[in-house]
Amino acid sequence: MSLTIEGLSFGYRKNRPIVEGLDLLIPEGRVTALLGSNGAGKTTLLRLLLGLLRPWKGTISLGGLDLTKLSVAQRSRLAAYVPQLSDPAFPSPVSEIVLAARFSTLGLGRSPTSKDWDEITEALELMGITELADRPFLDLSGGEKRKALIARALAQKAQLMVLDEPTANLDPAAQADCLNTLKRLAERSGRTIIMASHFPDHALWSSDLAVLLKDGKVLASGPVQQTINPDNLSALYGRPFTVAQTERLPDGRTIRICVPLLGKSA
Amino acid sequence: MNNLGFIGYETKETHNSIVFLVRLPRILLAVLIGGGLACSGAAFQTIFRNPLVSPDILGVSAGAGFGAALAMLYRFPQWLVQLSALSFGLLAVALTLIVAKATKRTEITVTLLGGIVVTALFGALVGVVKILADPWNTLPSIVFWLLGSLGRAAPRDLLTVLPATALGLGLLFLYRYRIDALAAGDDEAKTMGVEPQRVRLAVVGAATLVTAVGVSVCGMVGWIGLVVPHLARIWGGPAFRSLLIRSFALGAILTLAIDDLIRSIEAAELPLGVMTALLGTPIFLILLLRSGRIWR
Repeated sequence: MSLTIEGLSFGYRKNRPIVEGLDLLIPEGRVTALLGSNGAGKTTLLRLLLGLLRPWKGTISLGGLDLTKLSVAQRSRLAAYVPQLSDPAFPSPVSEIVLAARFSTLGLGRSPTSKDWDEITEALELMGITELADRPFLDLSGGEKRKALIARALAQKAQLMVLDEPTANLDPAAQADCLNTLKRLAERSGRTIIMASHFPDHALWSSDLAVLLKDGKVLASGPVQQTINPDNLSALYGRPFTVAQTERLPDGRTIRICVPLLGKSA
Repeated sequence: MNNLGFIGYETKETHNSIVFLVRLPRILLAVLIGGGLACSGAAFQTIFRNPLVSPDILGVSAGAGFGAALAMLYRFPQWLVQLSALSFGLLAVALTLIVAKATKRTEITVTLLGGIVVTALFGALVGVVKILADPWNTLPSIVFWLLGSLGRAAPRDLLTVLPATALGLGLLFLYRYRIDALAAGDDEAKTMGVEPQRVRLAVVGAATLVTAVGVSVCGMVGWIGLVVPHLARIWGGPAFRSLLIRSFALGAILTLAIDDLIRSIEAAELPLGVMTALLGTPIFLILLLRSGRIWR
């Protein structure tokens, strides 16, 4: 199911829109990177998609259903969230953290069935963290925590997966690992994946599409290799950029790297 | 009434009366109230994501205490005392949450500060009630009751405590999984399909009902609601569905044991609330020192 956003506007204070008249079409089975400087409205847009904020006007529809008109429980079957950090109040094991994705599907007073537990096992397997199931979530490394949170979103069985800076605070190996996982997930499961990021490089490695957000409006969007270019990046971050091409890497790829140039802001 | 001939003695009617009219109600009340306070504490700690909250700290106990004292001042019948305890208990927790919300901050300490303010307010109001109370008659009964005791427990108390505790704990049991979802935080709970405000409202109502009805019968019995959930978590982890059952068991056993200890001390019958505080404080201190951070 593709995601269609039409005329979306929102602000925290009256007459001060953060997102204004936003139109976007995000296709299914792809990873879409959302780029923009601090305060451009990335997080606000993600929160709108997840129903954590109520838009002033506009629609967000997934496969024809308007997400803004659904109940919290209904929306959770369509859109899942992977936060940057999760801070459970008590030391639960990973399996328990992932199981939380199934709670809203349980009738009041009911317990999870073996089917729910199967979903948990499957999600952990898909993320390759089956052996972490009984470990306390708070004892995991940053990369492992991120994987557990992605597993939780998978167990929610929602078509849309929204990630807030999935590579933040991870070491470079864990970043590459995480991005590769997302790419694989979109291809295999056909999910619509949207990630906010501060790294154009990460978009180039892992995403199919890029949406550049500036002052609550779409500056440019489209296939990632065309959209992320020096001109757009300069306009987006207010500083000249160059995009360099690497030689052929030992893994066979040739990738592009975005570097902000020193000196005066544009 | 059955004849209690199970230990080979011939029993007299008075023995039966003592067991069924005095001891048994007191045992049942200790179990229900102790277990109920521990479960309320566990529920409050989980929904506020805060290991330091308990019915005492959120102001529920102080509010219920004031409500009951006020009703005792006017010599209201027992059911009105309980209703008044419940109403003021709810009012107190609502005030605490309003104070916390008014600060527009989300740190866990804000809820605690709100509770301290509200507890102080109702503590002062109890002082006013004490001053107004007849020093020969009403005042001693209010003071002894505030110290917390099962000494005056009567079979008729079971008529309110049993259904109210069953109702409150039944609600907590129905919400057991949704309560766990709240431990992840409101945003995450919401994206996982659980409405935090709705769950919190139901749980606060249920836990306050259980606490207030307990307070109205045996006064201010502190520390059970704070310490027992921690012991129960050490025993078998933080998942609320089983924490609820373990908290009830531990709370009931501990309260019953303390009450028996009190009765067997010959010199004077210490109030239950004094005894739970005497035992609860060192236990809490040990937990605090043992792990440094008792909640992780």
